[in-house]
Amino acid sequence: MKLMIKSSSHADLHVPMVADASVMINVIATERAAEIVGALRRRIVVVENVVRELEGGVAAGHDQVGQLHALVQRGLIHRAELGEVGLSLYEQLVSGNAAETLDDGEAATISHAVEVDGVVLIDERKAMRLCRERFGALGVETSVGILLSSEVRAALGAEGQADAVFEALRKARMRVPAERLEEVVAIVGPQRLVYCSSVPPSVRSRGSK
Amino acid sequence: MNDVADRIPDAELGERLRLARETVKLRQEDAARQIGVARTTVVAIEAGQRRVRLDELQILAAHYRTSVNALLRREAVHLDLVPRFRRLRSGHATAVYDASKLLSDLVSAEVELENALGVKRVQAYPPERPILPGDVESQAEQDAQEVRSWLGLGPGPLRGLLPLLELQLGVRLFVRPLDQSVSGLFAFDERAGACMLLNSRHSQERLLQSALHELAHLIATRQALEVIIDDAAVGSREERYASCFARCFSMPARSLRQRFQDLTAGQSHLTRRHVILLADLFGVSREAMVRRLEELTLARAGTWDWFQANGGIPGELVRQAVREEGRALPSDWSEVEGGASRLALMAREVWKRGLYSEGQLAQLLRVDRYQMRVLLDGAEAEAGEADDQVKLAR
Repeated sequence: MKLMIKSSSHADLHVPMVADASVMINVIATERAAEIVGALRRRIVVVENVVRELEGGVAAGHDQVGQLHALVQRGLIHRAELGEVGLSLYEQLVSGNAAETLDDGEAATISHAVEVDGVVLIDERKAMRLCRERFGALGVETSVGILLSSEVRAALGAEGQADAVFEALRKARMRVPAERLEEVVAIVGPQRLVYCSSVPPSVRSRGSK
Repeated sequence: MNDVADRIPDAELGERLRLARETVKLRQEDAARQIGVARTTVVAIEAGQRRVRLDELQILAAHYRTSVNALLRREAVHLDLVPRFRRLRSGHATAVYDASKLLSDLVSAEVELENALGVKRVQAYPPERPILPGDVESQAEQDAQEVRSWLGLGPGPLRGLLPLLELQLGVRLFVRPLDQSVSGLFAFDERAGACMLLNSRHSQERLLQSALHELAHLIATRQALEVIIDDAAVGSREERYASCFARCFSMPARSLRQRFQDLTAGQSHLTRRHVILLADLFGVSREAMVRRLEELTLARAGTWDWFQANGGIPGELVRQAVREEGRALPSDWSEVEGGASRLALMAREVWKRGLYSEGQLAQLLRVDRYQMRVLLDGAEAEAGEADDQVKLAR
C-alpha cells in the first residue's frame, strides 16, 4: 500500500518529509538507505539539531553520521535550519513541563515540518501524541510506514524489502506500531523475528514453534 | 498548552545557565562572545534580570554541552558537583572532569526521574566512623568486619556488592566507561546523598576494590569528595584506611584462613593454582590475593614479587586484554548500565507512561540512541501486556 500518511496531501510528491534522528537511524541500519530515500521521491529533510545529535552519539561500530553526510552530498537528503515560525513552535515544545516537552531534536523536527507544511517522520510515541494534540492536521509517518510502503517494495523488490525491515529491527531495534505488527510478521517471517527484541515476546515466540 | 508564560522564571533559568557555564569552565566573557553580547549582558541574564532569547539559548546550550530542553524543562535537576570536584585538584584534569560531569548528570537524571515517579529514595547508610588517632590499618580491619556484620553479610566471599550498595544502602551508583586512569568517584551531596561512579572498563576484580574503596569513604570521610586515580600514591591516612578497608572487607581474615587451609591441606608449596582458585573464590585479582596472604602471613613476604619474576600468574593478562578491547553494540542493558539498575528501570517506567521521550531519556542518561533502545528494549511490550496478574500490590 502507498505511504499511509494522515494528511490530505499524502499523495503530493512536493510535500517534504522531515525526519527525526530515530527514523534516520532505522533507515541507515537497513544498509539500503540511498535506495529507500530515493524511492520515496520526496524532499527528505533533517534539521540541524538532528545532525548534531547524530554527530554527538556515535554508537560503536556504526557510522550513522558519516552515512547521513553521504546522503546529503548525493542530494538525497537536505539539511535545514528552523525559520521564525519554526523557532516559535520549537520553543513551545522544549519549554515547560517534562510531560509536555520533547528533546531538542524531536522538537525541531516537528516544528520544521509544521513550518514547511510537510510530513513529520518520527517513531517516538510521546512525540506523536504531542503532534496529535497540538498539530492535528500535521501528517505523520513512522519508519515502519516508510519501509513497508509500495514505493520501497518497488525499488528493493519483496525480498529486499523484507531484508531491509529485518535489518532495521535487528540492528537498530526499530519500533513497530501495534497496528502494523501483523504486516511486519507477514513480510519478515516469524522465524527471523525470533532475533528481533523490539517485537513483543508473544509474537517472537511464534517463530520457535 | 505551553506558551511563553509557561517558561521557568528568569531567575531560575539564569541560575541554571550560570551552573552550566561553570560546569564547562567557561567565563562570562567567553559566553558573551559566543552570543555576541557584552559581558554585562551575560551577568544580567544569569541574575535573572534580562530574559535570554531562544537563539541565544541554542548557542549557549551547545557550548555548555547540554540541551535547550534540559535548560528549560521545569523538572530538570541541576547539581553543582563538577565545580566541587574541580577544587580537589587531583591530577588527570580532563579525565576527572569528564567523569565528574558524567556523575553529576546521572545523579541529576536519577533525582529527576524519582520526582517524576513520586519515589522517595531511602538512604540506609551504615553509621559514620571517622578515623581516630592511632593505627589506621587495625581500625580499617575492625570497621570492615563490623560493617560486614551490620550489612548482614556472612563470613564468606562477597556476592553482589553493587546491588547491595544500590538497593540495600540506597547509594546512587553508576558504572560507566571512563578514562582508564580513573577508578571511580565518590561524592556526598546534601540533596542527593551518597553518589558513586565506577569504571566499567576495569576488570570485575578492580571494580570491586574501587567500590569498597568508595564504601570506606562513605564510612570514614563521608563529607569529602573523592577521586580514585590509577597512579595515586597511597600516602595519606585516609587513603591507607580505604585500601585496608577494601581488602579486609573482600578477603576477611578468618574466612580466608579457613579456605586457605582447606585448599592447601597436605601440600607442601603454595602454587599458582591455589592463588587462582582463591582469587576467583573471593572475586579479587591474583595480586590482591597474594598480597593479602602475605599480610596474613599465610605466604612469605615477597611472594608476589617472586611470582612476577618467574613468569607471573597466567590468565590475568588474557582476561584483562579481553575486557580492555571493548565491545561493539551492547547486547543487553547490564552492559550499558554496568550492573547498577535503578536508573534504567525508572527510565523504562517514565517512557512507558509517556512522560519522557526516547530523545529526552538519551540526553538524561548520557547514552546514544542505540544504547537507549537497548535500555528500553521490550518496554512497549511490557506496557501492552501489563495486566492485573502482574500488578504490584502497594
